[in-house]
Amino acid sequence: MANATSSENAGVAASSGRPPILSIHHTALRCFDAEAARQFYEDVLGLNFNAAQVFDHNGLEPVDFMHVFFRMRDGDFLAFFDAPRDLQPDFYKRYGQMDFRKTLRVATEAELLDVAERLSAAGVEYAGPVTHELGKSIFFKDPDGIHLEVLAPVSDYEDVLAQEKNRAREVLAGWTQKTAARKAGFKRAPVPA
Amino acid sequence: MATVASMTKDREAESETSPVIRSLHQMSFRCFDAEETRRFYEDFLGLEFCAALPTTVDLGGKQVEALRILFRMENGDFFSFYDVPDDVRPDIYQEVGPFDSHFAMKVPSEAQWDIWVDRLTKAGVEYVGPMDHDFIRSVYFKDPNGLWLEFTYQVADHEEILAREKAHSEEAMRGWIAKTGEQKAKFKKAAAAE
Repeated sequence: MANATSSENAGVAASSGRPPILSIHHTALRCFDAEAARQFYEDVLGLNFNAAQVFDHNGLEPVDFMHVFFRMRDGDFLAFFDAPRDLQPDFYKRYGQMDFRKTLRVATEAELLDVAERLSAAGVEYAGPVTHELGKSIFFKDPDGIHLEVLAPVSDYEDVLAQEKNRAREVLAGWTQKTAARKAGFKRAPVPA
Repeated sequence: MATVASMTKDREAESETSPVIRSLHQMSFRCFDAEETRRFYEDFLGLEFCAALPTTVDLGGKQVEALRILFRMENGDFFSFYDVPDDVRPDIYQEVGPFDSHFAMKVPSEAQWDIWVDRLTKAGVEYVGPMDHDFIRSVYFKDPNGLWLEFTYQVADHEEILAREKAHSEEAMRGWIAKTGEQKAKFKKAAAAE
């Protein structure tokens, strides 16, 4: 499957007994306050506020929490837990952009500017737009300090990805060889096969 | 049969309520080792390994080398990881529990979800669940970096359940604010006083 295209890859996955992974149905992240998350994800970013479920048990232990779901256009969700017994407003401060970042996709540069305008109107600071290989992006944080990016793909997005795919294995092999010494000495669990 | 005029009107109505945010393009994380992460996301989970992008990242004001790798799902979106060998942090997510953050991967059907649960069992991957969340069913497990992942599928009446949830979501939020608002206000006040 080294050189499989996306559709061939799906076939290989099926023939090896692995059902396809379609998408991320939801991300579920802790938040300090569900209403603050709603104001940001619904009122500012324009997602659909689709569910606010109150529970007194999380399946493992008794705990009061609210689970809120915001729906994107394609039908998947950004979800949050608000558990007042364990409030940690600085939870995400430990993470930099490359440690934990959600990138949200819009279709066009005009839509990217639309999101940027909404952020400005709400007093949310953002960086960018930054032009990169896959498109243009703006960067900002949500009320919990989670790093967010909104990305508008370039017109030749699939061509760029196809070119990257052609050299990905060679680049990774070189990288693995180059960095092995810096990873030595750490005990790691075996990767499941 | 819909006329052109009524179809146009439908599209306008849809555009008023359809979020400009189309999808979650990617989640980006740190990984311990790009090849270890590839073995899990490509060889075990079957995602498409579609890019390995050498880059430089800022580490406390110093530019260091990094490799960014992308794994693609069927809808075209990604899991993305940064391997930063001058700042190896093998335990970066180890203290994060499934109720701090998790990422739910959607499979097409209950039968295919069953196959994944069986594969987790056979591969010796510990998992939590199955749990019944009404509109979805879930099992939770960890990737090699300590991130909590989930396999989920949408039950047949996923949309009907969500429509019911939506109908009382605002009321539920008002109740929640009434119940927890004071506690959070105290917390904010205490934090501000520190």
